[in-house]
Amino acid sequence: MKPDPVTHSAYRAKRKKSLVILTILLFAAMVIAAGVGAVTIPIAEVASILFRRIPYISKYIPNIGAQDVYETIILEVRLPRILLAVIIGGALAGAGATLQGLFGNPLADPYIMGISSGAALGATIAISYKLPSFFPGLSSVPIAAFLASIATMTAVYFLAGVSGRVSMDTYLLSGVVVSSFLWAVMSFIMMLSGDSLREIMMWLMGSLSNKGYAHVKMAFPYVGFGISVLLVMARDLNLICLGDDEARHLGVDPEPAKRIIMLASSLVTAASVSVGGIIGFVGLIVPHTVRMVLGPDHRLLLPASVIAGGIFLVSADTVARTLIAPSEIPVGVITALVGAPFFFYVLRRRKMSES
Amino acid sequence: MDANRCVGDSGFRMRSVILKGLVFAIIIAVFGAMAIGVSIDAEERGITVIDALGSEVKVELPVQTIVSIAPSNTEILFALGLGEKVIGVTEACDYPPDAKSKPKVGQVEMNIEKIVEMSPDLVVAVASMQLPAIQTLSRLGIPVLALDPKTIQDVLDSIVLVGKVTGTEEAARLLTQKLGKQIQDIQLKAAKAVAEEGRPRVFVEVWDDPLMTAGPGTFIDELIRIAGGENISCDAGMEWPEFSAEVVVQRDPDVIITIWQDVDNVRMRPAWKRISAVKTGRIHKVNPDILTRPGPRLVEGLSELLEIIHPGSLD
Repeated sequence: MKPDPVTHSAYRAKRKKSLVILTILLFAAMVIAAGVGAVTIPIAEVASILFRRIPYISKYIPNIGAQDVYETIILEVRLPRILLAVIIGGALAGAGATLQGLFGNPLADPYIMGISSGAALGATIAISYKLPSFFPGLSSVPIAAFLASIATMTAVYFLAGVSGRVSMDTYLLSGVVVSSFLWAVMSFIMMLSGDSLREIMMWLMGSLSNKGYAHVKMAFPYVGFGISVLLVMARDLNLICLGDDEARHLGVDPEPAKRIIMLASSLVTAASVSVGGIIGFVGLIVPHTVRMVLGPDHRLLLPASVIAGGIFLVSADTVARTLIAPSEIPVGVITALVGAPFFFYVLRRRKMSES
Repeated sequence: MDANRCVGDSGFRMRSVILKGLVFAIIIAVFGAMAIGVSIDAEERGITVIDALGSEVKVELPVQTIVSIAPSNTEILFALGLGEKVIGVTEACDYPPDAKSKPKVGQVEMNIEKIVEMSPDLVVAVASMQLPAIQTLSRLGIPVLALDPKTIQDVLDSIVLVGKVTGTEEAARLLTQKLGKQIQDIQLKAAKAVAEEGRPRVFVEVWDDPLMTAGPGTFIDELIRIAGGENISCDAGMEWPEFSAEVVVQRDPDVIITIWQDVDNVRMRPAWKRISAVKTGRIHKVNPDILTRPGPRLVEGLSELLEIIHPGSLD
């Protein structure tokens, strides 16, 4: 396929500009998030602590006697949490954008494939049966959640794929059925373990509380790999959206492409749900908003959604951990509270500009 | 009597036998009448108390069969020596060990049918958590006593109330007296320790992911205060808040108490390495049941906390 050279280069310029702007916004959000929290730290100390860590410019930054406590709070408490918010927000928004395109369904979100119910079941088992942890800094909960979500992903894949040629509807239904089944098993275990009800509920609501670099290290490889695959597949996804026959005519075999896209988005969802719980709305609202502003071309939509998802979740988590300090709010509550009205606003504005 | 004495021996013996028989008969009659009177009295005797929901609970004495639908209530009933009369408990009722062998009536949701089938003379419930079950059982004509202690004093009052309803006032009086004395003793020792070394800052980790603690209004908060510590989350604004990890680092607790997570897991957290409790190894795992169940064992929890917060002050 040879694109029209003029519009193509214009598109590339637009794409570059959008992504640069979003990246700058992401860094701004991260720096603000690092400076804001339940503990008030003077801005100069925040800057000193942060920028002294960056190679090359570190020697120009004076150490203004930042307290050890502040350094620990920023580098060991806030920073891993911010990084995790970027990873999870990006993963959920990227997977959401992909699945909405793949299924041609605006209601698709990363949880539609049953991955989250697998993770929830794994977490529930770890919490109710108090499974011991094997890794320092990580409890058994994220690990059990990850293993269970990978098992779920595999189960959905094979249940849908028995006929060889996988129709997307079969996939969707298989995900929904497996999901309902797992939720039922989970509810049953929850009912039997009266002691841990509150803890399971808190996990289900989604939270980035008390996370360290161990969680970042656990989630990043899978999310990084999965998102890279999705970005590479963005052009194929565009063609698949036109229909199977059109894709074939344009040189893409839709079946293996769909499978790769499916598995990659399941993997990033599994990794992010395992460490952050079920954080709703990010994977639904962010891709839609980005699509309304930047259009449906996945070569821009996917990377832009990933970055915007990071911005959104870092901001939501900053609100979650400061609004009622020293207590915190589960971040899933904030994403829904802020996300839904914001989505309506974008929807209305688009309607008004159309008419 | 004098006249009788003057008569011959045989006559005296005769009459003496009759007399003895008569006296015996009268005694039997009186005692019998008394016994009947008592039983009639008992059948009519009931007791009406106001429970934690403000509802009138009418119970007929003596109470022979009791169902407890909360672990804390089970502990109170057994402590009052009513273990024999408890015919139903929940799956979570694991103390005292004898409670574990009792028939089960539910876990989180109570099996109303089973309780109705048992038709106990009394059900002891928790007001704030079990309202639907309490309403259903009351509607079905089963007396339900709802307890809802929020403080240690409330727990003692609850024990007295249970004693009144079950006809074990004396046992309740002795138990609350004993517990009250133990609390007083701990208060004195804690006050002495606080005067000498101040109030150590205490953080209680209820859960790690998300980080949750025990805020104001919980027994844990009250116990820490009585044991001469300062709960660093006393300004959290709710009972079981998700708590900010950076605030824990900043407030630098001298003592950390976990009730679920292993001590090692708390110690290994990179962000917590500067916290005094981590540096000095003062992280302790405590059985949550003796800190959170509103029953007589809270006093055990209190003495364990005193030992943790002010080591050596208990002796």
